[in-house]
Amino acid sequence: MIKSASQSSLTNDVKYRSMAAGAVPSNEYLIATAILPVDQNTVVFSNLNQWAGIYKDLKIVCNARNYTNVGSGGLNIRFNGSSSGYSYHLIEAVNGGVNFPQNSSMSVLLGGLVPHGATTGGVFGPSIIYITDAFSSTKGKTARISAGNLGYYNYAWSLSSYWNNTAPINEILFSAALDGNYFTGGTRFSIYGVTA
Amino acid sequence: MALQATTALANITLQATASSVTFNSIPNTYRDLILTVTGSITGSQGNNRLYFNNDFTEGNYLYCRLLGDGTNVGTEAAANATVSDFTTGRNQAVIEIIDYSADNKFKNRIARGDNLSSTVIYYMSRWSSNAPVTSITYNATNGGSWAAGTSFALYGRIA
Repeated sequence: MIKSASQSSLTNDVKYRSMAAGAVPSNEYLIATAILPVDQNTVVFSNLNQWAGIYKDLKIVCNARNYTNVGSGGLNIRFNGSSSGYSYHLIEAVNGGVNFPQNSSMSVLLGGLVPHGATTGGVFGPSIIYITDAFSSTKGKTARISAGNLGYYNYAWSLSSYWNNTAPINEILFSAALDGNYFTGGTRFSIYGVTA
Repeated sequence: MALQATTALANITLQATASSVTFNSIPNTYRDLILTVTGSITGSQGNNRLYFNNDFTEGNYLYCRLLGDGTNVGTEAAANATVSDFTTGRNQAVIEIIDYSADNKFKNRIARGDNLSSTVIYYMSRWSSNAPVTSITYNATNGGSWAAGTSFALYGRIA
């Protein structure tokens, strides 16, 4: 536990009438994590349908970096091995400007923006991906995503990505290979199940 | 069932105005930190800055911001530790600090907040240090103070 928290009139170890601010869910549970010990080009989480009767949504936290020195690549995601039916809409802040790109015919789900290997060492690109009704057999799969990176350029992304498929998600593949890249060692993917 | 992801670590509700709030001795047993804030500012508004490990050198931080205020959409990037822009009205922010305990990465901060009467703001921010985060100082800055009643709650998330 934290040993001290302070401001000008607080005393440690004294209980204050307090109320937790904001809303951090207590209904999120860690399913799996991969923190790459070495460079590799794909990461796959399989057999996710074992959680279908327990969790309603999935949340994915990523912090990724490409190994090769090509341009910053998209964090490319595929569900169940499918290479079709993906689309996105994006509000993007980049270097003083705002863009609103979209693509209605993608072969991957766009999950974020990964800085390339020539970026300053230590720079990784985070993504927080929330997939509602991930195990539904009647709904397409929508992902609400906060992402970006501060490297060669400075990006802040508010992204909505969609897989037009009613199949329950059983497998999630993260790929850098589709851009000819590798994820560098230290790249991290964590999947959480969210109960209703 | 899998492990519950988040654990409450500490929370503060201010009984009086304060220029800053600090959480010390943060354990390294989690992977991410989540800081939620609800409240307001007295005095000058905006440019609330989040510092790690008593590093108050602004050049060691960087942000890119996206905001909408009901009329305009705006963006800004700068080298300082700003993660929110609280006003004298009602505000809230959720700041996620990704891989805070890692020793081989800069520390990314994703901050989503709003002034409940006018503006929604999204900050992508980072601290350019590989050091694990052991303390957090959140300054109201710009000459203002956190108002009495403002609440700060810190959570750890496992990975």
